[in-house]
Amino acid sequence: MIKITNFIVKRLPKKEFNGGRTEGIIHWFGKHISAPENRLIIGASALLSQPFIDYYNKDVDEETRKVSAARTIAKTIAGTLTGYSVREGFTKLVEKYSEFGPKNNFFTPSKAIKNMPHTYKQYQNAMGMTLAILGMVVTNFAIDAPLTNFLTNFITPKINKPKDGGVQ
Amino acid sequence: MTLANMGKNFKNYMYEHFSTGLGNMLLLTGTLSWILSALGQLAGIAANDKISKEKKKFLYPQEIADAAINIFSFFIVTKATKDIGKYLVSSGRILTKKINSKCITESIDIIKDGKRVKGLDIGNALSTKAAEYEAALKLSKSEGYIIDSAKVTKFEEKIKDLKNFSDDVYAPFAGGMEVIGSVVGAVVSSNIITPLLRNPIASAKQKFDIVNEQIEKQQQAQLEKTNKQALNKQPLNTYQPRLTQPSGGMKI
Repeated sequence: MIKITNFIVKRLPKKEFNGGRTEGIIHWFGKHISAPENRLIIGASALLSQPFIDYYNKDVDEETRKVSAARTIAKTIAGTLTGYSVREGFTKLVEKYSEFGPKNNFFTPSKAIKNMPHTYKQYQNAMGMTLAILGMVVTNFAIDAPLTNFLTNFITPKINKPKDGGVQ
Repeated sequence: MTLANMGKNFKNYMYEHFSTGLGNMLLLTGTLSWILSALGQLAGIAANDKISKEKKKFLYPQEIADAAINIFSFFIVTKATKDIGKYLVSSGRILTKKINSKCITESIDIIKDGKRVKGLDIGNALSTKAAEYEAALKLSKSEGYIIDSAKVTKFEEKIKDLKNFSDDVYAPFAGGMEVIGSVVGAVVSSNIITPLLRNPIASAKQKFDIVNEQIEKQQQAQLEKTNKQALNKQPLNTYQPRLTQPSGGMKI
């Protein structure tokens, strides 16, 4: 894997940014994009691609394709909503209880350096993401799957309506 | 080891290993969340009584194929794109003017004898430099040395400057490239590769299951037919009274 990555990296062009928009965007991603935002991006792009791939899957009969596309839409909406909320919730929880000081320091590591805010923010995000995994053990079964079923049953008749149209 | 100590060690481990960039964490938690999500969805299909048995025959293998391909492609593709993003910065192929200037002032060679330095990791090199200044500062403060306050101040400033630079300039840029790599990899693997690969696998499994079910139905029907025929055949002793009765018997 490392060899393949190195092979690709060596063939990519060299670039030096001097301020500018692209450098700003890269910095912004580094500072602001964490697991919840990542989940939102994956979810939004999934809605734009997956239902169409499923709906135009000629390997199965029309009825199954419709249910499959409806289920994909439902799964993406439910998964994104639950995934985002759980990740965001746990990240906020860790932020609240990782202060430097005598109070609200349950998640504060003893080795943390106070005057490195970006590094500390990354730690808070990482801890939030780890706890979110534990949260998802519960929410995936208790919220995600039933919500997917509810949405599938809600969306399927709407896809079934048009005689010759696509996904409505 | 007490629970409090375990907690303390865990927090420090997380701080030391995941505070430089979120790429690894996104990959790790992303993979785990897809596994959990797939288990939840399978349970959901089983519990949904509004989906017919026939459609479930497609949805189960679709979900399993989805999970297997998703987890596999997510891990492979996202890891590769994440690593590419990271290596582009750490090897010095994509830099900012500020990072390049810092490398020159701190004598971190990106190019040596006209060639790129193999295995260079600018992030690690900056940390090593800071550690060297810290060691030099400690030495200049230690006993047996005449404390040169100008030197001490210089080292202290250097350490502070390097840490600020790492935290404020290098880490967000390198982390940003790593996160962009992770996001691109996740989108491509989960939303394009997975559905394109899982659908033919799931439909093949559905066809296989339907054919098997038809064969089973035919065999069942054949068995029922044979049983029915067997029931219609009357045993010989039912004809016995006809032979003995004069009215019903055959006249020879």
